[in-house]
Amino acid sequence: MNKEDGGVNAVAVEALTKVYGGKPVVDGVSFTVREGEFFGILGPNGAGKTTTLEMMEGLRKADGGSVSLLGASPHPRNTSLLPRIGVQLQSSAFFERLTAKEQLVTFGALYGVEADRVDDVLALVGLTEEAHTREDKLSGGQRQRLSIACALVHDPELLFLDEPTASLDPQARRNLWDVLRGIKDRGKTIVYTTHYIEEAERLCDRIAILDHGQVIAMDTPDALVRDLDTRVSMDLPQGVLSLDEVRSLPDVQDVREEGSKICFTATDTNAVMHVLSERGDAGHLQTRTASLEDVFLELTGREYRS
Amino acid sequence: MTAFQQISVAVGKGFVRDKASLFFTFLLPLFFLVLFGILFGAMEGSESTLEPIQYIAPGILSFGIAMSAVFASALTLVSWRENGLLRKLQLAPVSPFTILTSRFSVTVIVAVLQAALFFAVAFLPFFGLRLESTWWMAVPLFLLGVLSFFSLGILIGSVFKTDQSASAASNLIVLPLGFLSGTFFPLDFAPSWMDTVSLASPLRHMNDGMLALLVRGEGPEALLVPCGALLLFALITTGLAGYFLTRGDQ
Repeated sequence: MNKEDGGVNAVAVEALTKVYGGKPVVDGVSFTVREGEFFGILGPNGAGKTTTLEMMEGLRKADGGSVSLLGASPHPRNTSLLPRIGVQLQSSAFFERLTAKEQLVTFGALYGVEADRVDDVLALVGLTEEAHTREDKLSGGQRQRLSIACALVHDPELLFLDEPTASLDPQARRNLWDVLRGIKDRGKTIVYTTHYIEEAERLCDRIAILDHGQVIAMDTPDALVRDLDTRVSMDLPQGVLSLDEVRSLPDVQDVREEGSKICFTATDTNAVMHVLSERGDAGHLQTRTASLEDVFLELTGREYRS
Repeated sequence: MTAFQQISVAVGKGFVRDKASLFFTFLLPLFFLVLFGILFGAMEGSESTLEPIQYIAPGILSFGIAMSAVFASALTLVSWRENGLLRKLQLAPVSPFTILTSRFSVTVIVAVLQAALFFAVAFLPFFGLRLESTWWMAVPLFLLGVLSFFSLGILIGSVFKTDQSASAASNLIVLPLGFLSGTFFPLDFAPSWMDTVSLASPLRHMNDGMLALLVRGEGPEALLVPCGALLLFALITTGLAGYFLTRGDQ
């Protein structure tokens, strides 16, 4: 295994390419994931996230480039590597009409895992109460957690999750975040795709932003936002300052009225704050700092279409 | 439990919990038995050398088993592909052979239970079926028949990708096989081309062998041709299914 940045790489992807009908869906994607890292692949629908993941899992043959998982190639099917990786697919992939516990016992048996590990995994994903509920009677969030449990039952070192939080309600999504953090705390390496920007920002150690099959940015969420030379959005309630007074603030642009607020952008937050606090109006100012969404907008020149 | 045992248990539980297919699997052959029993009962005194029930019972049983084995294996494959389970199995260190044989073991158990229930009803005085003492020699033929239908279903499931198309294809294939293979009427009455065409049907060979052993009292030599034909059919369909399954892989 190659060492880089002081950590051991669990995943090394090099110039990965997949072409469908003459059109590259994944176009020269390269990145590495260190052991124990939570790595997010973020991108809008159709960016090539799932195809990238499937080539990494060995389910799809790459047209170009290479993948190394824990030092081995996943394609062609490598049965000594398979027990070391866990995969959760976008579809729930259950045996029909089995209970949560029966699913895990069955998946465990495929890997030669003792049935007593199953209770531990059920507890990890918070499904102990639903152990005897059939898969078709579980809620959306519970199904996703069971699906992750099925990928974890054989205690893999490396876990692939394909949009685990898609189509969940906000409550269930936050619930799942706790599960994912719990898995990371057990020292697993996690590679996961999502189209939720704020979720990737909260969960991931590092993020690769994928668009049109190419990595357009890759770093920690903080660094991605920090490197962005972006203007800060601000607003003041109407009546605090007139439009002209706002325009006279240092380095202010895009001044406009929006309902009960006057909105504008500035590069130097402190200068604006200074002027306002001299007038005793600083308490009214609201600022919104740059987010990954701004990073995406800056990089692609368009709104993020999730 | 081993992967083989656990997959069988999982599929078996899924089958038992599906009340609609349970009903279809076990009552369809009995429904045909009653229907044709009444129909052929009215044709008493035809040229056939056998009592009608003696003639129709083995054919109806084979047909019922063909229907449920083809449907079950085709739809299992389609639903496993649709819900992603096939890919999950591909990602587990378990061989396709293990998966197929454990799924097959459930089909065999179901077929044996179907046969047991069918005979229990056909033995009732109302139907009055009597088996020859050589009946047990038909067991290998029976198993090869189930294998042929299972692999036919896997082939259908590997070609047709949705529930609807796979069940339509299963119907379109198995129903004509029933007519072609002497299940519903003796092939003696059929045009000779039909007799020739029916040689390609696994159901025809299963019927021939079952009739010979169960009710005609012929010896094991009567099994050679039917068993050979069924084995050949199973090999060809499995080979084709393997081709279609791996071709669609990428």
